[in-house]
Amino acid sequence: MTDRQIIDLYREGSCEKAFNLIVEQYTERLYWHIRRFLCNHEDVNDLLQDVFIKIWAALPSFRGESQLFTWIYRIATNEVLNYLRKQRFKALVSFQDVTEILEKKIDEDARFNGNEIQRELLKALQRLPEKQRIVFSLRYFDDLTYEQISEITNTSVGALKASYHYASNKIKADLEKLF
Amino acid sequence: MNGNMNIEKDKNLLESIPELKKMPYSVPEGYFESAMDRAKEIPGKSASRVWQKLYPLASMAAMFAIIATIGTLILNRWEFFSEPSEQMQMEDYLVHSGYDFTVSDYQSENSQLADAEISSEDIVQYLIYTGLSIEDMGE
Repeated sequence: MTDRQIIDLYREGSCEKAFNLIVEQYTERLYWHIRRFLCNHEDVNDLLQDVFIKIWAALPSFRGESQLFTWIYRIATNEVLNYLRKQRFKALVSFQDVTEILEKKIDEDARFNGNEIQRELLKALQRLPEKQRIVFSLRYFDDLTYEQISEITNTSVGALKASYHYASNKIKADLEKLF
Repeated sequence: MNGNMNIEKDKNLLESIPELKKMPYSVPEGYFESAMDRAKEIPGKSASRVWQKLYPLASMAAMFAIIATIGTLILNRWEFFSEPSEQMQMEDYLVHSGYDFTVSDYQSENSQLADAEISSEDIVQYLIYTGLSIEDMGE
């Protein structure tokens, strides 16, 4: 079922059915989207539920000006950013470096089943500024177009291209250290 | 131009290792199914969440209504048991008697009283009752 059909279903009054279809279509995608920023399965699990709570609460206000897909990703991305800000504040209060905490989580994650270059890519991603991290993740991993990312982040396509370029350069520099 | 070339180079490096695009994490078995099931419970839970938010307000309103009712009852009871004033008693009497107390009735009642005769027997009874003697009356 397409996003348009889901929204039509919602507007016809089948709200729960429409929401269930959103859950079925987006659970896995959103999980991996969030997983790139949060380096712990349990944290992702909690945040994913929060995202769906927000989606259910905000669905009545969805006016269809943007695609359902970008609207859902915007909610998820905002939740991730809020979570990361809280993490940064906690780290600041305890005089710790949040990037170090995240890198340590990647190293200690029992669910990691990749190779060294994949681990380094994830660590390099955590070292990027928030905006670049989001743009790189949405563009590189989720294969979204700049126009879609523009809708999600409310940023111009030109600025996104520049952000992606800087992010790619930094990641490339980090990965090259392995060779 | 130089910028575009850099982008191409970066793209080549990142695209040259296909596994980089894959997420190197596993999830517990059946995780996505259980996550979906939990997410599908949200609409039902959100209704109870709304009630949870409204519950303190509703209980406060109910408490206020109970206090107001009890207060009204107490005040009414107090008025019921308290002694009404003389004027209120008269008003109550007039209202509840159903008697049409007009000026003409009052005058005719008084004229009947004026016309009534006092017999000597009535005077004797009055003197006995008050303890006055005929001599006292003479003084």
